Amino acid sequence: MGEDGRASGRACGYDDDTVSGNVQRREMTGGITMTCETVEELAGAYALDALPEDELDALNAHIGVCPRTHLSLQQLAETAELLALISEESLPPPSLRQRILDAATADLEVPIPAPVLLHQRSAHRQNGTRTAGFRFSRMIWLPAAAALAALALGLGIWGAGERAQLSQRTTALHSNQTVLTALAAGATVVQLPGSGARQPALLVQPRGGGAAYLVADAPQLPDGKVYEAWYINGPNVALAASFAGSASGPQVIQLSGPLTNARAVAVTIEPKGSTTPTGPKILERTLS
Amino acid sequence: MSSEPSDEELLAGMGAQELSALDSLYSRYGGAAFSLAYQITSNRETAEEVVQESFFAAWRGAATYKPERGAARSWLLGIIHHRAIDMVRGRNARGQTVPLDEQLPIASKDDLWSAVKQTLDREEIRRALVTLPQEQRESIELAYFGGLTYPEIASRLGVPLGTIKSRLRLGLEKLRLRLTEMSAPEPEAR
Repeated sequence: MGEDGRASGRACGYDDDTVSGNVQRREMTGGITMTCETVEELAGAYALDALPEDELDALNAHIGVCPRTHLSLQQLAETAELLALISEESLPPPSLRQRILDAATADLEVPIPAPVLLHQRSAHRQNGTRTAGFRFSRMIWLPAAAALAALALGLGIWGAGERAQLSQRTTALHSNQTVLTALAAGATVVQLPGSGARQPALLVQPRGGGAAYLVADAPQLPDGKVYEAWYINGPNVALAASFAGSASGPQVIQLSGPLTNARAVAVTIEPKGSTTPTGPKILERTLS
Repeated sequence: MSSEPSDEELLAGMGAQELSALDSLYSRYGGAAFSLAYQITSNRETAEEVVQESFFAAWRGAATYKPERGAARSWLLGIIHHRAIDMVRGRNARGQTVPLDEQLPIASKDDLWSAVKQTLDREEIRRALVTLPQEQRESIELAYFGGLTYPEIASRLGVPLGTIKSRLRLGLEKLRLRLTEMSAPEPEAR
C-alpha cells in the first residue's frame, strides 16, 4: 500500500514503477482504474451483484491477473448467497417443472433417421402417358413421403392419433422439394420445443449454408393474427418469417437466413405486420 | 446415513444428461428459486421465465460445474439471481456471455463457514439480517432484492457513493460475523 493509502502496482506483481503499474491496469480495464484497494472497497457491491457493468468488467479483469487472493470477495459473496434463502415464499405454477423438463428433453441428442435418397424429377414426363419419365417422377413422392414419415416418427413430432393421417399431411408438403432434398443431403435438424401441450416444430438447416426452414404444424389463426419466427442474437431480435398457420397440416416456412445468424429461435403470435415480438411465445430454442 | 443424493451428485447426474437428476434438483430448489426470482422481478411470468432459463442453463452447464467454485446450491441460486437482476436491468441474460463457472469466485475454503452455511435456516438468516444497522440492511436489500447498482442506491437514498460502498461491505461483513456467532455451539455449563 502506498503512502497515500492507495494500492501500489507492487501488490499485483507489476514493475516497481507504481505509475507504469497503474497505467497497465488502466489499459487493461478499459479506462477504469482498478487497484487492489478499489477492489476491496467494491467487495460488498460485487458480492451483491450491484456493480455497474463497466466496473464489474474492470474488477474481473483485475482479479484475473492479480496474484492477491482478495479473500473478501469470496467471503462476502458466500455471505450474500445466503440471502437467496430468505425470499418471501411464492409457489411456482405446477406447469413450470414440466416446461423445464421438456426443454431439457429437447436438448438431448435425438437420432435422425437417415434420409432416403431422392431422385430428381424427370424433365421428360409426357402428360397422360405412362412413360418411363412419368413412372420415374411418381417415384419421387413415395420415398419423399417415407423420408418425412421416418423423420416425423423418429422425432415423435406427431402424436399416435395423427400418424394415421400422415400420408394426408405429407401431401401438403409434397411441393417442398427443397427441404426434402436438403434432408437427403444431410441437413441439420433441430427440434423446437413447444410450450405446454403444443407440438414441437423442426428447424432444418441445409448443409453448406443458405436459408433455414421451419417445419411446423401450426393451426390457422384468427384474422389479423400471424405467427412470427424470430432470430435472437443477444439484445438483437430480427424477424425471420411470418406465416398464418394452416388447417391442413404441417407447413414448411423459409426463414430469412441460416441458423448461424441466431443464438436462439422463437415463434410468437403477433398482430399482422408486427415488427417486434410482443405476443405469447409458443416455440423457442437456444441454439448456442 | 442419508440415501438422498447430494446436490453435487445431482449436478453430476445432470452433467451426464440424467433428466431424473434435473427433476430432483428442481424438487429441492424450484420453490426457493421461484421465490427469489419473484421477489426481485415482482412479476410471476418474468419469474417463471427466469427460473426456466436458469434451470435450463444449469442443465447445459452442469458438466462445467466445479465444486471448488462453491456449493451446488450457491451455484444454482447464483444463476437465478444473476438472471433475475439482468431482467430487472433490461439486459439479456449475462449467462450467455459469461461462462457459468466464472460467475462466482472460488470458495474461500473456510471450513468453519462451510459448517455454518449447512446449519443455518431461513429464520436464522432473517434474524441475523435484522440485527444489522438499518441503513446497512436497507442498502443490502436494495442491492440484492431490488436489483439496483450501488450508484443507483446512492442516488435513491441521497448519500455519497463511498457511503453506499461502505454500507454494503460492512453490512455483509457484519452479517457473516453474526451468522458465525449464531451457529457457534453453546458453551458447556460448568
